[in-house]
Amino acid sequence: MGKKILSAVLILISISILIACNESEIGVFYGLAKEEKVKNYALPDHCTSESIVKTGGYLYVAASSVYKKMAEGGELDWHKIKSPDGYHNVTEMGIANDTLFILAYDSDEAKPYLFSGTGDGTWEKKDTSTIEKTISRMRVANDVIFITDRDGHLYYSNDSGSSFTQDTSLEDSKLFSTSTGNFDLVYGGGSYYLNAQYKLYRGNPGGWTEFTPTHDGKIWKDKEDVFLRLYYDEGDDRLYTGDNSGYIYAVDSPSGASGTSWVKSDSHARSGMGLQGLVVVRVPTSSGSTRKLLLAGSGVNSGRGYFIVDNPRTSERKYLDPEPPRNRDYTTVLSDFYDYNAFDLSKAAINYFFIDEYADGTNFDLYAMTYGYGVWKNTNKGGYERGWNQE
Amino acid sequence: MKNINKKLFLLLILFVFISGFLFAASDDDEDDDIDTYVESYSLGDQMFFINGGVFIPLFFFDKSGEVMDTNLTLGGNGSLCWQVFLSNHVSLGAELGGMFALSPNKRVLYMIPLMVKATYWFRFYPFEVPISLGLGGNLSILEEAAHIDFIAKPSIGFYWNFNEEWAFGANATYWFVPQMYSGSGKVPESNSMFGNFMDVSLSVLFRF
Repeated sequence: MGKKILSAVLILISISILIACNESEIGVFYGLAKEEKVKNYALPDHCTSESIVKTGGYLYVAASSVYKKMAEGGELDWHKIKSPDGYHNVTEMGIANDTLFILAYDSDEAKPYLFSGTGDGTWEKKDTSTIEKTISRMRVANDVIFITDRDGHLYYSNDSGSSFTQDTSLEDSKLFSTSTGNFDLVYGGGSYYLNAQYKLYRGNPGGWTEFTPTHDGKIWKDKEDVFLRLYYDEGDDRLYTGDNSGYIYAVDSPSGASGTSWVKSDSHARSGMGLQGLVVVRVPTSSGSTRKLLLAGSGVNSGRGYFIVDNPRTSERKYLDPEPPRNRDYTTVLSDFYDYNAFDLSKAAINYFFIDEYADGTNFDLYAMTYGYGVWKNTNKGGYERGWNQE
Repeated sequence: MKNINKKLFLLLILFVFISGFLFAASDDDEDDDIDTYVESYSLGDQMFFINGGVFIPLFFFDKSGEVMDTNLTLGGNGSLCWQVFLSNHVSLGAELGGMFALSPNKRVLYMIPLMVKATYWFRFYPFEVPISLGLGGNLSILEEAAHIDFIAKPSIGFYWNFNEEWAFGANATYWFVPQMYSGSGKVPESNSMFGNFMDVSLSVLFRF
């Protein structure tokens, strides 16, 4: 009888141990080998940010305050720099002519104002009196500062914020009807590209033409879908954007006359998953490296997704086949991101990717900006499904 | 990497030194007066060990042979071992152990090996030098991640016999833990790693 009881106990213990083995998606020893010590205690772990820029050998992040650290793996870690006196909640940031530009709210958080600075904590408030309505959003591209107001009007400054001109060249002089519309703007290949929520434009400040993806002469998206982030890949001279139904749109040589041949992927996400993080990364291979598009998506009811797509230059419509993870639920993939300190990137919605290219031309760090889960860095050049550490 | 090479080098020196010592000692045994020889142990004599000491992480390597740091601190380990003598020089038994060490972010790695252990005893009264090999299973736990792997633990000890029942000594033990993933589960095959560790422990031995 005693032997039987002992056997039963041993079997139960064995079963419980085997069950416990299935709760992780990363190897025990592998996780230890890849773990990096958290050195930074300044950048909040639960901050929200989509603004990260690099200038003068430093990286800057706008996450309510402005945080700064040495770029390219330098020793000086994140530290907070002083906000403009009487202002806080820095929401957006950009660089023009090697100068930082931020939007910071006044003390009652009623309105954001534009400031410029050199990253040492001294700020100059810019005169934005020509912008009649309350400022809403800001993007800086090719040293031109673009600002929208709460009514969706677009303004630009090409003199480092000394003066702003309203851009009336848009179809109805507005990007969108409210201040909450999606707005993004990038520069590449000699042209600017602008996301006005339901439409895309290309051109120059004061001279925009509609650039919404078309196919067989028709707008190539569902009426209700909105465009999210824009990404210009200089290496392939290709413009990418994603929508809130998980579709990717891409066009080669977007600034040229022939740059209207858009391709559209199959949906890379379940319904309602918007694609916000877009970046082309180098993935090492046995023969060197290959360039792949890294995507991150999120939705209110559709979880989180993260995936790499292969062969971004193929012109076939279905060229964007998901690579990893094959046969896996997109919502589970983010848990592959390595996490510690109880913070799990699988819970985070990534809204922006940023690459810090090293001067050596080969190394780079990849940063993921999130809603509410801080800033994450990936130094694992071999694969982007792992090797993430919270900054 | 330098640290790993240094550890390996020291380990190698340790084994070479001890092996030489033992072979020399074995030769001396042959010169002993066989008329005065009395067997110390016989079939059925049993021993119980309690061991505790320092756990020393060495290195990992993957299937391609790439060596990586374990990123672990020095840790602690302990074990309970029971053995029965099959002959005067050979004993066989089981060992249940445990260790802990910290990751760079203070996460705790636990490993719990359960092994069958065979030992050959060299004797230089009042000292004894056991050389053992333990084979079995090892449960590794790191927060929510856990895995059961094969483990091999060769070890060497040095004991002083206080009396017929009690002996005190120390052991140096190598831990080899191949942690293999098939890729059929959530963890990809590329996460397979070979763990290499050692421990140095003090030991109390009771014979009965």
